[in-house]
Amino acid sequence: MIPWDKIHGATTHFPIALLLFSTTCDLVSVTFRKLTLAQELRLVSFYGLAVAALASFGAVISGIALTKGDLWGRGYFGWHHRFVWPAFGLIVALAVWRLVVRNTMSRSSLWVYLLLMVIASAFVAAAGYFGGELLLSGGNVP
Amino acid sequence: MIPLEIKGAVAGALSSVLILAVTLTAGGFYRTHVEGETEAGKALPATENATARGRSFFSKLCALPRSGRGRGRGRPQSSEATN
Repeated sequence: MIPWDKIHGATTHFPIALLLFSTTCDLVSVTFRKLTLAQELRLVSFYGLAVAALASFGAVISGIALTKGDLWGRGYFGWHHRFVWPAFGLIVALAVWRLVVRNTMSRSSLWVYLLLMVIASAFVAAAGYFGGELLLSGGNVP
Repeated sequence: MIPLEIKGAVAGALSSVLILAVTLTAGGFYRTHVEGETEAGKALPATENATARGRSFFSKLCALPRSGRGRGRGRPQSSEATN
């Protein structure tokens, strides 16, 4: 018997933490772009996003196994999923985009990218919040 | 010539849609599989089923009105009566 609840609890923190960290690094690097640190922060944010995208697969797979394939649900469970699926899609899309483009983004693309990163971070944070509420309310997972 | 940013955005969007579609489809299949296993576990084995039918027949027999007893009337007409 695989302990999916423990695996999900462990893996789910990586995309949450790394995506928020990556977004913060990007925002700081754009704000203080004249500093030499800015370029390094862009590199850190790239690797943070890449690892967040890879870890999100583990979190999603363990989550599906934990809920026995219930992809929506009700209450906190439903809210968790309402934020998880768009967040997962955005993380994957942004990671692939960044992987292709690297640091050759134009100014307008960079702003679109940053906006999407902020939205993805908000979705991930909300999904984590409702996941925590679900856990504290006693589970109620099928 | 298409800029690299547009190519990257298209690649990102396509891979995202593809991965989401695969994940949700696989989750749906897994759910169907788990539900099938649960239903199979809930179904009564043949011997337990026979016992349940016997109990049902007995309770129907006991619920008959007094006037109907012993006169060959009011007996359960279901197929269970013949078993």
